[in-house]
Amino acid sequence: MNLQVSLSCSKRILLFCVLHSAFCIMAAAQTDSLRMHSTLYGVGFANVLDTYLSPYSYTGSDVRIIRQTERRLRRWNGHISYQTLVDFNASYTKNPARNVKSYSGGVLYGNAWLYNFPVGHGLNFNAGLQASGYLGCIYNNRNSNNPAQAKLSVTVDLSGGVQYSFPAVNNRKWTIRYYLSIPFVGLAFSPQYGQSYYEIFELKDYDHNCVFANFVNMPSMRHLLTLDIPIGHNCLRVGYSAEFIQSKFNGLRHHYYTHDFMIGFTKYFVRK
Amino acid sequence: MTLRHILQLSMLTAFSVVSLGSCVKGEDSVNTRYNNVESLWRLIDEHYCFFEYKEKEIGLDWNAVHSKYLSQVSEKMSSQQLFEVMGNMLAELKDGHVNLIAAFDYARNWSYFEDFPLNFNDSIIQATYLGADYKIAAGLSYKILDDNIGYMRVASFSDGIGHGNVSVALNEMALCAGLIIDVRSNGGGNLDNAHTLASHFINERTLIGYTSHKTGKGHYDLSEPKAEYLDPASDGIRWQKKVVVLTNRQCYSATNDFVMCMKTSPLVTTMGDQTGGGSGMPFTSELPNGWAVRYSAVINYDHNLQQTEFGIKPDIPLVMSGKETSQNKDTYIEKAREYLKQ
Repeated sequence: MNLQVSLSCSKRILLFCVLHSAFCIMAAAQTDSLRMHSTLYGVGFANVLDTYLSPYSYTGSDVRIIRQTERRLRRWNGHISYQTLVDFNASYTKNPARNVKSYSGGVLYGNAWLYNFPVGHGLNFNAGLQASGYLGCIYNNRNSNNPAQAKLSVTVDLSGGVQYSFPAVNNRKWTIRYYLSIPFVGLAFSPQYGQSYYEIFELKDYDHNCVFANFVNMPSMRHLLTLDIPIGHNCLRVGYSAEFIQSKFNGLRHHYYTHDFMIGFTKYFVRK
Repeated sequence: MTLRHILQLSMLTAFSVVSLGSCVKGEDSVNTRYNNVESLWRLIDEHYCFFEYKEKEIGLDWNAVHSKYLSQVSEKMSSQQLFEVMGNMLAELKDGHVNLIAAFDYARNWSYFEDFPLNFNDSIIQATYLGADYKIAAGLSYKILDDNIGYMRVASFSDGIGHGNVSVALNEMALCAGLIIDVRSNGGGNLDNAHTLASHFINERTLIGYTSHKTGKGHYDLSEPKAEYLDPASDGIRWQKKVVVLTNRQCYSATNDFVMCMKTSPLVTTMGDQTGGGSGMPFTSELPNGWAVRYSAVINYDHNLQQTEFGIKPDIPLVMSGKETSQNKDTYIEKAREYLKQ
């Protein structure tokens, strides 16, 4: 579904960036009581489809780096947390016949405001909105005039999760975290069904290239399940990341499924 | 857990179910003989850009092609036999930009030049006109002929051509009475190189054609043609004297586009045989067995919004003289010299 709005694509993205910056400044202005930094590195599997390049899914390996920062703000009785996410991944895949290579990857940057619902007994739920931007690319090493596909989107995502802390070894608390985000509404770039990039960039021929994205034509999900194991003053974090990114824009179908096993460290800072 | 928590979890779960329930899948990649042929037929059916034109010009019926060739498929066929059936199926499109590429063969329809006289002999060009002392500026070979006519041979647009290269060559021939640009048997290459060269022969922003792409799977789902302009070269020399462009049936793809651009200039006369055409921009795709498929995806029209897929007629048609050929002379070049000296 394409909605043509009177604002041009660049103005819409600019408006999104201004609003996003305002949210970030608001968050920065809040004093925080608890802060968490986490960096995770992972390897796994990828399944990539983009019918602009090939009608078939390419499969192969994936590497991923996730940098996550979370701050629990003092306001609203400490119920609000603000999360920043930088998620980079790169994949090397091959076609079903295994005779063509493809390289794909991208970076996601997101800021989420989450409202926390502590239940007790170490259990906490949170839910909120995440503003995110994604920039990526898929390159096919055999195609001639359609060798690559650019991926660009800015979305507002529904996000939330659950955390459960429990005493384990030496009575120190281990924490299981699950985080889910679902792109709900936004804007995305896509060439028209049979349009070449030569037409877009050389001839400035724009044909529904800025698409109104939503959870129907971009049914996607990002999952992150982790376990924090205290070691000294830090925590070892192990986890599993699963991304199911999909879109159906201008008659072109795309999916990018990844499953990565993650490992890294987490630091907590508490202000009194 | 409160009612609010339950509601939130339900909402996230509901969206998860919606998202999971709408998987975006690719085509069936089962590597059977039948599925490969069916996939090839469907790929062309949904993406090829010239159906409307070829239905009118050559009576193409793509649904009839499906029946004709699917009935020839058997799972017991060898790869070579399968390749032959599929190559024949694609040949129905009569398009030099449509190819099936396997490790052992390259299926093509080159009838656009194979069914016609070549009207070009490279040995004569080298022996009689270029000799041993011609100059080379990137993809341009050039020399001043005895009668003060400049001769520029462009054998391919695959080699990079910059404004500096063109200007050096034109500067060398600035005192010539006229210029011959010989693009015979140039099968194309990079469109940017063709446009770079053509931009030295116009003095103002010029409408050179229109482009149109597929907007959906239907045979007639095409975008509104978008005007394409060429700006004159801002760096270097712009040629202001008469030019003859020599063409034959092997002028294809980017070379066909070059001729299309040059014809918009009042200084330019085209001489020789009709070009081979190839006005579609080819995309690449593939089949379940890994064979590559090339097909025309974007239409380039000329500045009058006319198709040039089957070639561009010259302003002055010529036929190579056997007598002159036997004397190691090229009829096209000799006629062009006479024309430029008038």
